[in-house]
Amino acid sequence: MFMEERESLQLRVVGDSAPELAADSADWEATYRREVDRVYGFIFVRVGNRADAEDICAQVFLRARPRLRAGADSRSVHGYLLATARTIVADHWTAHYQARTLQIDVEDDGLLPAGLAAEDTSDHAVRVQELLDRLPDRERRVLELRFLRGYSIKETAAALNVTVANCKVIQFRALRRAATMEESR
Amino acid sequence: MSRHLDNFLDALARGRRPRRRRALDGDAMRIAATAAAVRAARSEAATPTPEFVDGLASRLRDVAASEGLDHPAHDRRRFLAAAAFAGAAALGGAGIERLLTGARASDPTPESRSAAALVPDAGSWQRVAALEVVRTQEVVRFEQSGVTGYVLLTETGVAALSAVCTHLGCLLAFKAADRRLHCPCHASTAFGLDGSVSTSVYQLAALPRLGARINGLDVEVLLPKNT
Repeated sequence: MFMEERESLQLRVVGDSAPELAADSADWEATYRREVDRVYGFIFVRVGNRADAEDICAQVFLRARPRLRAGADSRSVHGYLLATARTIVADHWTAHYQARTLQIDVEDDGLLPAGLAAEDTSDHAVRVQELLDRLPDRERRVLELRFLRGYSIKETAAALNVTVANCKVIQFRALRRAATMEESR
Repeated sequence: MSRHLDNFLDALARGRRPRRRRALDGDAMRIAATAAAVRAARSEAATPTPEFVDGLASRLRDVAASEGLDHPAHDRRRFLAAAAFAGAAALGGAGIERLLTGARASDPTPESRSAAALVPDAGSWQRVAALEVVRTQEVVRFEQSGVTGYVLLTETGVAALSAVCTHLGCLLAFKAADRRLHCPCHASTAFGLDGSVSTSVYQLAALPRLGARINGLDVEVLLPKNT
């Protein structure tokens, strides 16, 4: 796989030479502009909120900046950025939320249902809808109201005509079921 | 359902950053991550704002300027680059002065591709993990002073390796199943815990070693000074 890359790659050792500085910076910025949406989308699916997604996205590019130079082929750069994003997202979950005694594989998207772990997140909304459609009716409804429409737990409970406590239970079951769902396609 | 998970889900539903330092057990973490992925299907935040994109572009320009990335690199950056591309240097004789190999970096013969050692010009011994953790887990990842690596337990003490693949600079991941460091970018590539290339379709250099030692209850690695 990718046997031809070795010839076409022009990654250079930083500090190796100084020429073409202007072109270099401009190249890097073009790479950044080309990649930033996809990298951000990849991260956003894995953290679900803008604040964390922006922090992690910034870390990815700041880390990559000194390591990549102009001229690298775009597929390798993209792969490198996503691999870096994956690592930082895994670190984010372990550093901020993981119980000390726990060892789970967050490295390989082990936290996500298989159907939602795609690298290309452009059709993420479709994938989520497919996943929700496979849930029992009330569970799907709770997740739609809560996470797609931003209802509070009280509003959701009222919409479903159940108690708040009951609504939390349904939400929990729905997420647990969704979390362990196999890929449908 | 735990209150921490409850609060996490509430924050997500409101589009806020969930509070940190709230431990979740394995099931709860999977549930939290699934909720995050479902929440991400709401269209309004799935793309970065223009302000964020421009702001980060400007930070990247500042970093490049202040750290001299587009000029002959200063020592710290040179060290980081060496960690990333030691392989390229060992093969091509690119002349990183502080890359000390079994043979010489300027000697491009395959025999010289044994484990190289990376020594920062202005380094200091820095704690990267508790000795007890290394004793228990045997292989522990660290990230400090811009260097990502692994410390490991050896028969005689501890050792440290760069976690940066010598092919394209991807960050390697340790898999307990076969006790090797795997490259996420090219599935064929993996390194043994002695740093040697275990499998790869490419002609690669071994992972560079970093200085490592036990100091009291800590494991320390020789890293560039924080600037």
